[in-house]
Amino acid sequence: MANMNVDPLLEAFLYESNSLLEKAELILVDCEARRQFDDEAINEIFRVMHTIKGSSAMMEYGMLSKTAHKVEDLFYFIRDKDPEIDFLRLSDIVLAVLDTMKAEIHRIEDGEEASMEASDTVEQIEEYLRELQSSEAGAPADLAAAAASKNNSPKLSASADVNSNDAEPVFSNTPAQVSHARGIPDTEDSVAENALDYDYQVWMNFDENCQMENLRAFTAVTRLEEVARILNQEPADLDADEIATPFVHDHGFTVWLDTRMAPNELAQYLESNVIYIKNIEIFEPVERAVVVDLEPEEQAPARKLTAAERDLMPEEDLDEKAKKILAGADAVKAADTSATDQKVAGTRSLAKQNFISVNVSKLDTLMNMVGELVISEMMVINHPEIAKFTENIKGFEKATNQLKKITSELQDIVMSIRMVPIAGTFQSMQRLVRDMSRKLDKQVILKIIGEETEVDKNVIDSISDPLMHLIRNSLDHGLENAEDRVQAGKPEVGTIFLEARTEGGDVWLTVRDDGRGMNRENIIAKARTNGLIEGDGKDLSDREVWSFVLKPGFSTKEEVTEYSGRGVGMDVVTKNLEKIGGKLTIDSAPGEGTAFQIKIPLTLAIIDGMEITVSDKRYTIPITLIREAFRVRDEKLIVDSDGNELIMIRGKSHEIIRLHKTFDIKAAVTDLKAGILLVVEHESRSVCVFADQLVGEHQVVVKPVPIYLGHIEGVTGCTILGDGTISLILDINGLVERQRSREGGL
Amino acid sequence: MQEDRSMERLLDEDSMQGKYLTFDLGEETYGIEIRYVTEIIGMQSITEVPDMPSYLRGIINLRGRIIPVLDMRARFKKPLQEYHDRTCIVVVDIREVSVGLIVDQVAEVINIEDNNIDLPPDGRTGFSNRFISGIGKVGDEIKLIIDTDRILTREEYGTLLDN
Repeated sequence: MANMNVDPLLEAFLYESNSLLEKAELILVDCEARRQFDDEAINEIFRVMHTIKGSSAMMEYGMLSKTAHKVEDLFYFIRDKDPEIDFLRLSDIVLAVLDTMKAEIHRIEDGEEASMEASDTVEQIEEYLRELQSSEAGAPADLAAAAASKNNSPKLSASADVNSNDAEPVFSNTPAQVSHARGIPDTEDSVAENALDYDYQVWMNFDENCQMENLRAFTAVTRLEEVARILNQEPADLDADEIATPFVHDHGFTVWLDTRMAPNELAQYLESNVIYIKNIEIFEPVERAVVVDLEPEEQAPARKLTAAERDLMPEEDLDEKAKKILAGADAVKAADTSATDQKVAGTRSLAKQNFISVNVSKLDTLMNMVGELVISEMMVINHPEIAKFTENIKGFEKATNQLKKITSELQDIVMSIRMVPIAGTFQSMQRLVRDMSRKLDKQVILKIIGEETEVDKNVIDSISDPLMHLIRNSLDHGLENAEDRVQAGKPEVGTIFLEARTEGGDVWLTVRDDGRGMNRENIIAKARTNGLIEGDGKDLSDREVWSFVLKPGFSTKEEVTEYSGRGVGMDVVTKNLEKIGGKLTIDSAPGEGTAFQIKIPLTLAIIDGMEITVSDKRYTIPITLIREAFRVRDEKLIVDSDGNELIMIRGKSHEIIRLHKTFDIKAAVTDLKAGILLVVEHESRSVCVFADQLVGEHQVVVKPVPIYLGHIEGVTGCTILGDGTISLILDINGLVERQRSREGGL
Repeated sequence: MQEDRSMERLLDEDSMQGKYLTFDLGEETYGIEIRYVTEIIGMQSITEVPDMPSYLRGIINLRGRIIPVLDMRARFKKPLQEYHDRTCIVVVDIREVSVGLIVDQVAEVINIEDNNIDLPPDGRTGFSNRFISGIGKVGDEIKLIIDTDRILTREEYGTLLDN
């Protein structure tokens, strides 16, 4: 809601820049882990920076565009010259720069004044680039090329000599000549030309009121670069928006390229990947092989018209030339291109915009409305007055079935909208692990399992911090340094597993390390000094001991480091999990490692539930968990020495959980034979839940228990029944836990 | 929609200043700042929830929203009495937490100027002032002003609302 008044352009810019920076960061961390920067990664970072540079320049955020420019320079050089890279240093420098850019975006998000100056960190980049360049220049054969590349690089050439009065090459699109301008060596070019099948001139224009034409064109270039080799473009400098924008608006945008795609494929590709495209025309170029023998140094400025030149160039002149090209190309314009045109017109409306971003609060409202709809549907269908008509209501039943079908589809869709894969959150932990392992001088691999698991948007927002603290904890406390690991007979490189899975509607997240495990004695000693326990704590179970580390201010670490030791982190974890009703359990084995397991209950969902009663209370159990329900006849009952009741079903013993006992409900059925037993799954075994009676199966809308009530063991949520009363949804694992602790208490 | 509501609130803030909703609990009359009150509803069927302190009666369905209800008699450790047809639930919204307060009956909305509100006497006199932020005087009558944050604080959790 706070963003209501934010300019949609700005919002889009912030969103896009954030995700691009994240992308770049991931690539860097990934490359560093693999200890190599492959071409694709370098190209990708280059593209990311180029996009940010362009869009932030347009939004007039000087710092961002200048900084991105520098990074782009660096990667341009790396891409072009392929120098020896000290990848550690490179990723250090670039990550630091990315951080400053992120910080700047945050400032903009917070509505603060954007800085116009490039960040200080770019000096490091410049220095590194200089070093690379000088080492490159050291190799005599490459000397000239390096100089050429410097001139050719789009950014640097803008300041190069302007006095080239030959604007013609802009439009004479010979592959050989233009490839010079792009800084691609001739040898490679000739090979490439043989390999690529088509050689086109693509002209496009954009919707009248799409705005930012230069950016649209830039998107097109970026997209095309994925499938084609760009030879030239007009206007060449899309960054100069005060010139490029009106030009593209008035005259469209032209690209010369090499690709394997057929013309219609290409048109379709553009249609579906670039928004706001109005028309596309694809020509095979008229002059294919005019070799213009110019020195690269002279060409660069010609290709890159400077702002000054463009201002001097009369509009008509450009117009004239564009027309000439079009006229020339008309002859070549084959039947297939006109076919393409038709196709293009047909598919345009489909392909334009596939994604929209929606305010989550709107989805919340929608979700609630659908929930209400389901409840009212139940109320209508089960209305007592309808029950009076006993005969001949087939028509009504048919109609209600149709209604049920529609509402259930509607539910599925609404819920799927809110579900987001956890991958993004997981991936962002790579950076944390990378930074920490460098600082702590430990070698660590983060293994991610189940990143495709989808969870509700609310959950995503609340788990990022807890996960971060848990991973920090594992890295700092859990994992040993390399020497200790080798001594303990473990691989030198430590591993942290980050896992997500769903089970019975709950989401389970695990952070597990193969480190030294927790030390029971240390924790007990610390708990004693903190006054949490008295005595030697011998009677405490392991889990009880581990749970001390979750207490505020509890840290066994002697010194406070940058990452931990203040005993704050784990406190944050519990606080955050409380908000979403999550639960943390810790398992640890000395020498083998520690596992933190978070269970997050169903937050928002519509499930099939079985409604049961105990006395006048109503409970719901998710149908998926129920194996069977039966009345006790002559099955064998066993009571063990601790007072646990067991029942034999088909030769297997099942523990009985009496709901009236677990929840301390008076006036309930206590005779096993008078009530009903439900066999429900619990982890890999199954247990029997004893209730008074079954009411029936319903679709229920899961609502969280109010946060104010805190975590209630054995209850995962609640739901509103058709008559408006509330039923608690049972959590079987919690019930078992309750049973255990009750026994412990007895 | 939410925005509209908060705008309304903002505009109304002035007119709400110094206004209190008063309600009875046994012999005493209590006042709660009107800006916290969202609505007053009749008694509803309450669903009990396990493991709650006795004053936390359970949850109710308020038009699809599920909110916890607190029995104010139990909260103030007063003798309990059967709910009757004048028993009300005052729904309050305090720092984004919605709860219902069960009271004997609501009385009226009154103005109490700040200078007519005294600080509560301290604990030495034996007066339990844990939930009272002040004592308002209206004519001859005394209205005990409720400290809304304190009544919502769950002792067993420390200050849950401070998050």
